[in-house]
Amino acid sequence: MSLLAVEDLRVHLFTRRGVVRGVDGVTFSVETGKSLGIVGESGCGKTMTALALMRLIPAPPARIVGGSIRFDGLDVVAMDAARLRALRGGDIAMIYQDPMTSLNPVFTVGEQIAEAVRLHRRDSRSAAWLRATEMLRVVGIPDPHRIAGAYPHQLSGGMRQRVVIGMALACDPKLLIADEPTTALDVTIQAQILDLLRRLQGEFGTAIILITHDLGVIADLVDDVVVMYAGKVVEHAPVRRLFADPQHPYTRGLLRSVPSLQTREHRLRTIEGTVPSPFAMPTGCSFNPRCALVRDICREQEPKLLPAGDATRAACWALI
Amino acid sequence: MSDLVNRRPTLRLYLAGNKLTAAGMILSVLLVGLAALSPLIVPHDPLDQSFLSAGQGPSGEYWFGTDAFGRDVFSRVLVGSRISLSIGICAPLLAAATGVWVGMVAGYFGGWIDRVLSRSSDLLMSFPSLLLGVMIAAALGPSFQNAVVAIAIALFPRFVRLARSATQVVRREPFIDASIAAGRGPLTIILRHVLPNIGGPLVVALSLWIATAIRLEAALSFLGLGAQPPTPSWGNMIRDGMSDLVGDPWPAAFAGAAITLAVLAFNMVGDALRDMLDPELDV
Repeated sequence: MSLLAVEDLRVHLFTRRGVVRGVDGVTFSVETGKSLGIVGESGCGKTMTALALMRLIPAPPARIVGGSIRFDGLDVVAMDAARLRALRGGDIAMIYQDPMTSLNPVFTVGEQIAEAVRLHRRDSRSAAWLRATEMLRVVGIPDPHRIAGAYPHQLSGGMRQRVVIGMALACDPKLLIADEPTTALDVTIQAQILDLLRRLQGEFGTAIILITHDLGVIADLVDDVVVMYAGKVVEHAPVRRLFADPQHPYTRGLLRSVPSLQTREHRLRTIEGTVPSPFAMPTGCSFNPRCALVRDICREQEPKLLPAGDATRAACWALI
Repeated sequence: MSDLVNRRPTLRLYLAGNKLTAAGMILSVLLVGLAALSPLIVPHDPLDQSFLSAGQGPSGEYWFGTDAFGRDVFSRVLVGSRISLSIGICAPLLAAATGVWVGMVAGYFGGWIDRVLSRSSDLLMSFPSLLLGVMIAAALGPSFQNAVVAIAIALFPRFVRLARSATQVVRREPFIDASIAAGRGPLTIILRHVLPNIGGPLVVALSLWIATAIRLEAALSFLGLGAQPPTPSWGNMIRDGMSDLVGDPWPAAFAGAAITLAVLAFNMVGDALRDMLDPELDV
């Protein structure tokens, strides 16, 4: 049994201008200790998917209208509030994009980690504090006893993201969801944080869902990749297969638009066109207005996610 | 980074750099201290009337002069500060203790909860606070408790509004989302994560509205709805003094000066507290 199994998940946003299918039939699973990358442009539904896993979607306007989320055999969609609170932070932890604002400015980082620990374990204050300094040490913060007494604004962005990661892992979650964990950081710090996540995954055996728009970030951190476009999964493949032999035209376009040091090209390739408006989705395949391989059927019927080569699944009429 | 342990400036260090706030704090402490000790240190009985000494100006015997009944104005200003300051402090505290909760709940949950709570408190806000205070004090009858309640009700919607808008700002901070994602319930988040983050503006407002409450209490007493004669309060001293402002201006003048001084002192304390409570403000 998978640790997390998402089946045909549908999250719709009920706005004044109409219904937006933020997440439109997403299916994937994560095994214990494995990692999954969710890649896509802004607005493709990757964050909405991640938030739905813990039922954190802002409701209203968003609502899970269909599909199932099973975590550890439990139905997350049907969970009551108390069980949900135990799940959040206890079984599934979340790391947000901006470490500058995801820590409470009025408490020291040690207090915040200790509080998170006490929320899910019946630890004494001193035990929780000990755990906090221990976690700071684990995430590679020098002199953790001193830093535990520091306020967030006294730490650099990289240090804060380490604190956030330490706080997320303090209760030994089975699954860690990292939503763009390095986007707000300097490039050199990004590499350090990714190294840290990789090392901790080995140490703690935590499954990770990494959400990013940066293919470089997922390349050597995740096992599998889900590529999303306009609320749907367009390709699902092991990370090496995805980079070596992308199937969906959108994935190919994404990979081509990553600058390379090997080839000498004067202009960076981009995908023509823009993401369609959520209020005016094209019929058939959502990618058809931007696709070079577009055929008549692409404008009429929606392609299903079907096997396309070894271990890869893609949703594209050109592959059938 | 070098000095993480001593991260907040100590009071003494802080005050050394801010003479004005230091003066405000010393003045407020002095006022409250004098009010507390006033029965022990007054040179004359504040209720002791004497026809012989009536209507005198300041002298060695009567520092602030005497009123129309020959009572010592200095002693009355001192003892009167007990009523003025205790109502001035208790009423905003009561208003804050209730209004901040309502405001935080309204601001945190939003939606229909917010609409019900803030519209009802806006209803109170639509009356001028003095008029509201007068109405309530008149309805409940003049007494210490009723004056506190009347002023607290007048200040209540202001705390609701302030706490609500401050909560709405904090509510949008990602660390609140992170808190929900960490499995905290709404009550824990409001208490542990919202309240400490809106404490700064609330404390400032509290001290400013202590000043307002002192003025309101004076106004109520002036209208005869606060402390009842012969018990002295700054407001009823001004009222008594009004009858002969030309011949014997001293009771009204010194009571008025005391009000001014107290209002000024609490305003200065408010600013000082705000600066000290903000962990990100480098002093």
